[in-house]
Amino acid sequence: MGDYPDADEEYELMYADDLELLRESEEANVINKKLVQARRSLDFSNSNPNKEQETSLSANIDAVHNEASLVMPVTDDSSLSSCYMQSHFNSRNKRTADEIFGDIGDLEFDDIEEMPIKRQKTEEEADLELIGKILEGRRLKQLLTEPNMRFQVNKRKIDYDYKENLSLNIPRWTFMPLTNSDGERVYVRLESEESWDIYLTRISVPYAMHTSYDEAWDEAKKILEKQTEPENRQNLSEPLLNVDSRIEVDNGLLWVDRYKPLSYVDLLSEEPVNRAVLHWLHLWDKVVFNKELKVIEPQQRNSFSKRTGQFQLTNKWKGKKAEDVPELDEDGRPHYKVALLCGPPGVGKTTLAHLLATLAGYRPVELNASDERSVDAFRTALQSATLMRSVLDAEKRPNCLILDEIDGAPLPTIELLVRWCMATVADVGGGKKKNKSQPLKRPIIAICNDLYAPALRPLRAVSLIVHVGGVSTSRLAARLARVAEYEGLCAPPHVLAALARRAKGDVRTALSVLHFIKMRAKQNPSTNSMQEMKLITSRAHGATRRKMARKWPTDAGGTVTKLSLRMEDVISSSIGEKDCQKGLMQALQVIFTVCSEPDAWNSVLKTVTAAGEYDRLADGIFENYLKARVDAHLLIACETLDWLLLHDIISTWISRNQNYTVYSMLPLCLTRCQRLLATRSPQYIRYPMQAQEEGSSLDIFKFYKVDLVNTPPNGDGVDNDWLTRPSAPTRPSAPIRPSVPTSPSAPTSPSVPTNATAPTSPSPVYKRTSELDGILWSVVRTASPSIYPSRRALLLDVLSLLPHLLAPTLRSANVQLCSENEKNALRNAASAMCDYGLEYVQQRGSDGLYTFVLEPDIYKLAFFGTEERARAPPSVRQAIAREQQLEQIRRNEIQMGRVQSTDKPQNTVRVTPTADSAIPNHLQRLRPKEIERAPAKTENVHNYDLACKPSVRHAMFRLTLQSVFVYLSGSCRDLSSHVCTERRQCTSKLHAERVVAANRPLVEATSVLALNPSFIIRSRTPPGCSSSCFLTFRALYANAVECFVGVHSVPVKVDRPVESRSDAREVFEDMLYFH
Amino acid sequence: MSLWVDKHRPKDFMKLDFHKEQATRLKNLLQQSDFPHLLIYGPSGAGKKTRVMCLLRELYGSGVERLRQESMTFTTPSNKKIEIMTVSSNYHIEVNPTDVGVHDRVVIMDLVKNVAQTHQIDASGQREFKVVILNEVDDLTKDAQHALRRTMEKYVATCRLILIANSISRVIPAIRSRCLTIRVSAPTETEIVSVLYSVCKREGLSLPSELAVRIAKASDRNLRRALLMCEACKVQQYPFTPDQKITEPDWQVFIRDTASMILSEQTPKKLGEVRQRLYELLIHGIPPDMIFVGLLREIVRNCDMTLKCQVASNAAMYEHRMKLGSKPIFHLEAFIAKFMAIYKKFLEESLGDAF
Repeated sequence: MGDYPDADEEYELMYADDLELLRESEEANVINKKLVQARRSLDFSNSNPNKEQETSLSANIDAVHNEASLVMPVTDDSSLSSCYMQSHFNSRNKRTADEIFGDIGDLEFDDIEEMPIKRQKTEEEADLELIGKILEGRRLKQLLTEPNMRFQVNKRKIDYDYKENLSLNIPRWTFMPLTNSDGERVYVRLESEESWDIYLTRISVPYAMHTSYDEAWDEAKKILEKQTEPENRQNLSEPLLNVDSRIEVDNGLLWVDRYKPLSYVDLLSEEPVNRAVLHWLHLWDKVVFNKELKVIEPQQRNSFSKRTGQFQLTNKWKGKKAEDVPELDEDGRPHYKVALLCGPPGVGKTTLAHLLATLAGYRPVELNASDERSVDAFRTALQSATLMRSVLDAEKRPNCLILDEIDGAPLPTIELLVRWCMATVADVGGGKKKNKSQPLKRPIIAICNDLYAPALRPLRAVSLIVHVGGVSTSRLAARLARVAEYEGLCAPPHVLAALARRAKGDVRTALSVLHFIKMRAKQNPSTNSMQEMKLITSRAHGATRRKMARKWPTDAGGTVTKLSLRMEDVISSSIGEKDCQKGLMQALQVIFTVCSEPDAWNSVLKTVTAAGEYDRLADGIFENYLKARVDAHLLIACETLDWLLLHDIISTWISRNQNYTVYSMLPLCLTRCQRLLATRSPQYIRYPMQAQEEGSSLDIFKFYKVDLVNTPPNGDGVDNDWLTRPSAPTRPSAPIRPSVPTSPSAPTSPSVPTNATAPTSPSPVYKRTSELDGILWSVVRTASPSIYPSRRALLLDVLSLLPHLLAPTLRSANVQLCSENEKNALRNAASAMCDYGLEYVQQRGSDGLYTFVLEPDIYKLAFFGTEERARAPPSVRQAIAREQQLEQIRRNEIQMGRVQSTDKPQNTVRVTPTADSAIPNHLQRLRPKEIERAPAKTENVHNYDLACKPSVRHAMFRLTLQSVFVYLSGSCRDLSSHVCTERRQCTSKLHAERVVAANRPLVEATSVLALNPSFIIRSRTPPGCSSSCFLTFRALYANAVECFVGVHSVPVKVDRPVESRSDAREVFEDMLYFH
Repeated sequence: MSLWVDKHRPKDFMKLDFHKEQATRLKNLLQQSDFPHLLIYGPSGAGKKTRVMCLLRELYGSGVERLRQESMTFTTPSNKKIEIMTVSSNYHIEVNPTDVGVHDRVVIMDLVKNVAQTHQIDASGQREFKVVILNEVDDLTKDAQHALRRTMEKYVATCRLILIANSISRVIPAIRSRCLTIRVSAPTETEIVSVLYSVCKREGLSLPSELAVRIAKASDRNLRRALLMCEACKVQQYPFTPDQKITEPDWQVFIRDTASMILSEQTPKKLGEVRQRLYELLIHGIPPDMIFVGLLREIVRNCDMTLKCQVASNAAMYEHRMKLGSKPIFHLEAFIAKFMAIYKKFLEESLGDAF
């Protein structure tokens, strides 16, 4: 305590002050024999009314004060500390304080005034400071006992009176509730025998200075016995009696409930978590209690140093600051209407919610999975909880709804909740729903295990998400020690530590195991593993004398039995070992971290086995091992890979032969890698994303998130904790983070080869593999049967060179003007495309331009990131596309011709109906138009037909048809001008706009029909008659017009009031006649 | 049929450009009007398929050229529907059972039985057996191969099998012994050059001899590749010039670059970069054994003689292990890591000697 004022002393001062106040209020309580409970600031609300006016932060500070005053010791030697505390407080007067604190007493009260000034500091600092203080407060209770014990000894006895050991109010010291015959509840101080013994040893020391040890001992003992006879009887007999009777009386009460924390300091969850929830609860003060809150500017909350790494685990807490979300909305309610606590079972989420709600002055109303949660029932519950107030509750506290196990609720219920929360004052005012006459004005705390349950998705977006992590081993062990002490279980610390370690942060399990062991011991004392032993105190005769002095009914056999917990009990209990699932990332973390446990090999093996998923684990090692250890000669890499290869070979062998006899070898291979790869430095381990299948990645990602929650946050106690829990991240600066699959800097993006642009797609390997495989497959399928190639040859030889063949060098001139050579090259390319089933398809790029894209895109398959360079220029593509279509027609015709020549004439007749059946119904009704009386109308067309070769003619028709659709699908503007230019324009340009019609089903159906050249050919009836063929086309055209006008009458009307519809039709007719 | 590879594929035994002796022997075999099951193997691009088609034509006449493509569906024992493409004429059916992966056994059993159990309807003047062509037999699973061997004997009266493989080392001995194995070796470079000449002549082009030799060299004695490369050259630049750039398949270039990366630096970081490139190759479907071969060839070129043996034996070992395993990327990387370790040690030792 050299350089005053440091934080400890400062805190001590505050502490002392509060305790004094507490004592005053307590005395008042006893005198008045009335339950005076604070509305929300508990004891201090009366004595320190000015605090009530303070901001949310000061409310928190209040809470801290309260915590300090609510002395329910957490530490191992709790009864000791409680003894001490009690005596210290009771006997303390001003002088004592001066003695302790020297000449600094005058600062005591400045402390409170100083707080607002401190609040001017950044939020972060204040947070840290507060957390530091709370943690300090916990430590203090331990510290205080040791050095000052002797100092207080003498006073203690003098001031020990009955008033301090009995209370009508819930006392702050450890107590046992007793109910007398009138139903009045009295609280009796609880002290254990050990504390007495230790106490006795302590006070004996001063006497040892001048007399012989034994003499002094006896003397002191006698004095003490005399002095404390009545108390002894009370204190020693009561607890044990109580424990015994309680087990018989309230057998049904689980230890989890019996020993649930009653004050903030007793909470086992991590400090940031507690604070986050409490802070959020205090944000409601304005709405609920009409108290002014000082809204902290989001900017102030931004600066976040590395030290707050501990906050980052409660991600929203951090996220809220980062996103600059104001804490309160315009109605004065918190931005997040719901706090969503999530975490593994048994870590105390429900307890936390209840306790904090009570502390903040609410009456917790719980709604859990056992209640009906249909939408109606839920609405009723919601209304009753948020809009009404309990009549019976004497203090008229507002409700705080706690929705437990919400991840099991049906989706509509959750949606209702979200709607309820989102309704603002304005909304509700507007909406005339009589039921929802008020917006939500009470805090709602939702609790879930699985944050990523599908039903919770809507809720996640609107709620403050607080991850409640597992309780750290040391703290859990300390708590277990206390419980054991209460229950009269003699448990050595190492046993409890082992139990805590095995419980892995699960308080409930740990307590249940204790409970179970105790109950078993009671039921069959002879066969169980519990030891019955005589109550051995440090001095036997003292104990016996004390025993003689009291006579309690259970002491029939004359021996006091005390149950002791042994290591075997913990080991034989099945928790933690069986069925424990480790996340993949946890296992990876273990593999890449040096294991400090004595039996490293086995513990790593155990983790690996628990994680399962050996294949994926191997992937994980494979993807991370290169960065694990400095390995200039790559010897570690070789060795690691050898083990991985062995793993791969074994697992392949297993799956091939379906023989699982060697399955147990797999984890061994992986565990070997730990020897090679483990380092002490923290590792940044990536989730194995590269080789995994895409579909499952999301699930795994989800699980991983949960794992992240499971790892204890780096609050207090982690520094010594991580030695015992190798899976815990060693430093807050190296949290395990999954690599996000969609991030642009994802690890899959390959290194850039010098001569190629980077293959940009960061998508997982699996996705791209299947994509490229699909390309290959579609080529295999569509390639003409005469060249039916094996896949391997196709991939390695043909497809890798084919793109070069499809890019002939052409002058950028009209195709008609090309030289013979160029035409040949063009034709070659086109026919090669036909051979391999390739096609140019128009696609609209992101810039709105249409480009010809090869379908299937073998460029992607053939090139490694250089495909753009090798693609043919657009003009060439366009030319090839046209040529390819013609070639396709030609081929179909040849095939048809072959069919016609080889088959009988009836066959041709039969072809037509089959073709017809492919026509959708709306086309079929137009069939009658094919009758022969049309030729007069189509005279010129007929001539035109005669002028062309049949194949060319068909192509022309097709192109015209396309342009018609372009025409139809356009926005109907400048129809006439369009028609004028139509004939001159390069049709392929218009062709491009065909895509516009893509979302118009009818037009598309027609166009697809029309664009299918084989259909065009097949629909000729009879073959060779061009005029009737054209009639068919006409029918199609007309139909297309109808479709268009029918479907798009609305947009057309919007564009052009009345005339456009008829316009379109007229222009269209013109066009048809022109042809 | 516009690519030179397809267009100028000989359709008759007499028109084959190389292995003429073998062709005569095959022809003689067929003139007995019967032949045993055949197992034709040889490297890719040697003309196995061409010979099979010649053989069928010799057997059934030009009717075999009228091909149709059908897809057949099978149901696996686990009730999974699988679909496979077949190419068939009236006389034969060709199928690639490895397309369905591990379910190839079902295909073999069902398809071969189906075909074999139906007799030719029009037996007059025709052979009384059909031909089933199975591609890539060496990639068949062991199950499928075992399923095959009984079928081969049982239905020998109604069907003949022609198995095509790259190498018979992975064909089980039971099948090998039931077949007449015919090896079609890759054409020599001079043979390739002569084929190139004849093709160019038929196309009416003049091919400079230097270019032809270069193409033959670059083609790796793969006639298909040689022809495609030649045509690619023609598309890019005609008239030919002797020092024209020959387009190679991009994956070969990629593997070569990867090999030079490996040789340039031997660190874990580089290994990580190489891994990405390996992934890229695997994504593109390049068979891992080809990657092994390509890498080894490039690496060995830059190695000291003493290292060559070591590297090659390592490559063989890792490739073998890869066949046993199922994650090629592990094995490829293991080989590269091993090579890097060896090479680095070697470099340091030689440097140490120098000082």
